Amino acid sequence: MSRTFTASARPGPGPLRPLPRLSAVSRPLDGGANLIHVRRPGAPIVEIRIGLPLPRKFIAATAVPTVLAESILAGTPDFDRDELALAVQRLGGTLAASADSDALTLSASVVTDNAPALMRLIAHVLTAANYPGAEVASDAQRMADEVAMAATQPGVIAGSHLDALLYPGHPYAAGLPTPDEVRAIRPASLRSAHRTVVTPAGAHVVIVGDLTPRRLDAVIAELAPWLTGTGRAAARLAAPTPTPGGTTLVVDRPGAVQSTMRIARQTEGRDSVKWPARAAANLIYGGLFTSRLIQNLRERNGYSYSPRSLFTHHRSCSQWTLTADVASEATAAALVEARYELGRIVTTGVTESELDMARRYAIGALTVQTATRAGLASMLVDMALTGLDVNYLPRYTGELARLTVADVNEAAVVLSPTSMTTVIVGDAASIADSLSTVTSVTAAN
Amino acid sequence: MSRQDGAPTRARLRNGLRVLVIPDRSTPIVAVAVVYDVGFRSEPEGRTGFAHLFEHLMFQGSANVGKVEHIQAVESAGGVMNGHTQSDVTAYYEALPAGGLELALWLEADRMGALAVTQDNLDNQIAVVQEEIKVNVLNRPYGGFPWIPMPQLAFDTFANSHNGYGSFVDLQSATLADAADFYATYYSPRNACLTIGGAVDPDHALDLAERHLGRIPPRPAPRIGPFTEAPLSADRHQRIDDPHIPMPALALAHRVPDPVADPAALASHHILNRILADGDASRLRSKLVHGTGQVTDLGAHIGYFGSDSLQMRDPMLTTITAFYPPTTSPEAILDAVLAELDDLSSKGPAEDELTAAVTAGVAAHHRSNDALLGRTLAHASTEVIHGRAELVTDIPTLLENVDADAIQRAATDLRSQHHACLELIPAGAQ
Repeated sequence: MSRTFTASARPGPGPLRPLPRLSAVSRPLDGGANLIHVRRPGAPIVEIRIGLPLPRKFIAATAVPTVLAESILAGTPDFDRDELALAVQRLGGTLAASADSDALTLSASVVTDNAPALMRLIAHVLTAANYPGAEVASDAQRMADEVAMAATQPGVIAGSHLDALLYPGHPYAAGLPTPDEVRAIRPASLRSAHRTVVTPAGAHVVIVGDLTPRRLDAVIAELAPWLTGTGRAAARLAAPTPTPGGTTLVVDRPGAVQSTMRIARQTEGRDSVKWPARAAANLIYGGLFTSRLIQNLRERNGYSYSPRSLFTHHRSCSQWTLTADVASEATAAALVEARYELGRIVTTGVTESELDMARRYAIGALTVQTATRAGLASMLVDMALTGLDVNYLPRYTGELARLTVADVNEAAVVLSPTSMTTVIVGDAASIADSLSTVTSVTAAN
Repeated sequence: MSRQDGAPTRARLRNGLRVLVIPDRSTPIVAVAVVYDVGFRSEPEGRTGFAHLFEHLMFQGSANVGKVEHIQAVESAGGVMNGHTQSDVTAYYEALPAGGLELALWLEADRMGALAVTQDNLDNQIAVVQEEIKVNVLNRPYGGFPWIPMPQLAFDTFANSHNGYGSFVDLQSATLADAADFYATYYSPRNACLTIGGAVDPDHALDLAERHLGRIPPRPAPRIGPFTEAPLSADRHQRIDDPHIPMPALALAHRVPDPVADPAALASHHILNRILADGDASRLRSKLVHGTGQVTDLGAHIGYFGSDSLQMRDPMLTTITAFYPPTTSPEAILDAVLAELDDLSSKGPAEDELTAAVTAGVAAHHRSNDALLGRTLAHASTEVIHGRAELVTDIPTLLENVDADAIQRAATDLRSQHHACLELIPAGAQ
């Protein structure tokens, strides 16, 4: 393949620049809500996120939030579902609701000129959504079917078992609801949940777009009908008691051609002083393409297409997870290699050049991610819902820039293999014996 | 007009490489995209999946870059990168803080000019691609549906009907000689477009492009396609029994007009799809999902994956996909969809649903155009397929020009064709 082609010397990566200043403004609104606004010129689109933290009972029982997210746009006294959808579309907007384990979030976008009009519709939904009986019945049935479909995906199966092992006795163990629980949801429970959850108290309102202060005020003014009342902010739960490591659970999925592997543990959140060093350790272990995990499992051994490790963040704790979908016949070997790399980074540490790359990547990737309105808005609401203030990003990247190898080596103990819980969803008949030769195995019921 | 829609600065290097520069000084990052005019439609019989496998090989090292050093270099510059293979293009792209531009161009030059594939790396990536197929298709309910089985039903030529991910037998038969041949034929600078976007000065960017990619010796451009084939002469139905799925699914496909010859018609079909299936007020969602509950979820898309209609040549499909509970008969869904098309064909859309669909389409364009990397890539792909990157900035106008007559024509076009319909049924069901 070589041609008569001579390259010049490879150029360097360029200077490491800190994240550009966000000029984010955070201020309280009436009713106990908080506004986060970033003025961002460019594309004529405004992105809006409204994050509503869930109280304990809706973290522990997920059927209600599942249907609430569907039915909140099903109608008000002034609009049925179709009319509301059409009204949003006519403004050049989008409006959707979603629920995760910690929060209900409304996500919206609209052409800049119509931002006040869309906010008026949003305020109307937040104050007057009335969960009509026929719509709720249809939504509950449909969400029950969606949950049933999701529950056949091996990644979802693995996640459910992992949550149960990592957070026993804590609401985060709840996982997906059952189809029957979802089907049983009635308008009365949704209306009651709406009163509790859809309150401005403790809510985070994020607006990113090219809005002058006067135009921003016009948008916020439309939210006024909702920014009233005496609701209570959902309290942050205490962190779960960490589970001791050592369990390896095999969940049978007969005939599976791959094993879906998860190795995980609970960790402190991003407000810990150790967070930047832990983030760097994770990138070096399995977050970069050129990380130890990917170079081993994918590029050297071909066991897996997409192994990686990452931190995810609940409101009350964070979690480190390794995910790998590996060829069934390589399951035991892949587990050995993944654990070997964990042991290696904990015992022998990282190098200066690995740290340099991790640091550059972390800062650069954040720069790319926050370059779009949608990316920035989603990041800001996620930060707010997990208790981080708007200055978190420049603070975090500043600390990344100052990290030393010693800092990262000390923090890497969070990746100790003996602290981890392992779940493997696969064809037990073909993998259980070989797994038992390298680890003690528990079979799921 | 938004500052980000700057007119491209163009050049053509002596070796035939097309270069576009699209500055956007509102961002601190640069994006580099190289799109080659080859996709899985061009791969030979007996080598299904080869174009995608070759895309993997392009990351495995070149004369001055070791295995995965490309990715390492981009990541250490603080960048993100990826590649993708589609039916008619293969794209390689990265976004980095502005200081990394020259490094990105140097890396693209090295692999365009002097790719170096070893047997070990080929064997390794064949294994990796097989795991990719397992995780995305074989190990996942509804994996690959409908983009893998629908072309097999709707088309008859090998080029248009085969599975672009490839069979394991074909993948395992790939040799170094195949790779050398494919590279020499399809990865000529003359067969590619380089697009640079973001925090760049056009003159400086062109100078860097000339300095690094201008060194690559010229080679001839390949003959690509054409892949046209006759339309269906009868409706085609296929039922597939799948033991892994919990509930049935259905996909209904028709042809759209040649997108390169008639981008205005393509815009009409996009708006037609929004009227049918975008948002809760759309015809099919309103009636079948929220109204009767006969359908759990549905969508409509043009092309293989929905985001590729400007990156494909004729023939191209528009497909409606529905997931539904076992209590619904697939005939009922098919009848309902065809009835809506008949209605739109004879009466056209209502004014408010047309306005809403056009407004939504224009807003969606602005939203997706916001991301520098996607925007840069769209320009490169559109330059390759349509010969005119500026088509990307014409999209809002094309959408706004879609009127009721255009929707009637589009719906009539579909109803005057034969269709292909796939049913996925849980194995063991009636």
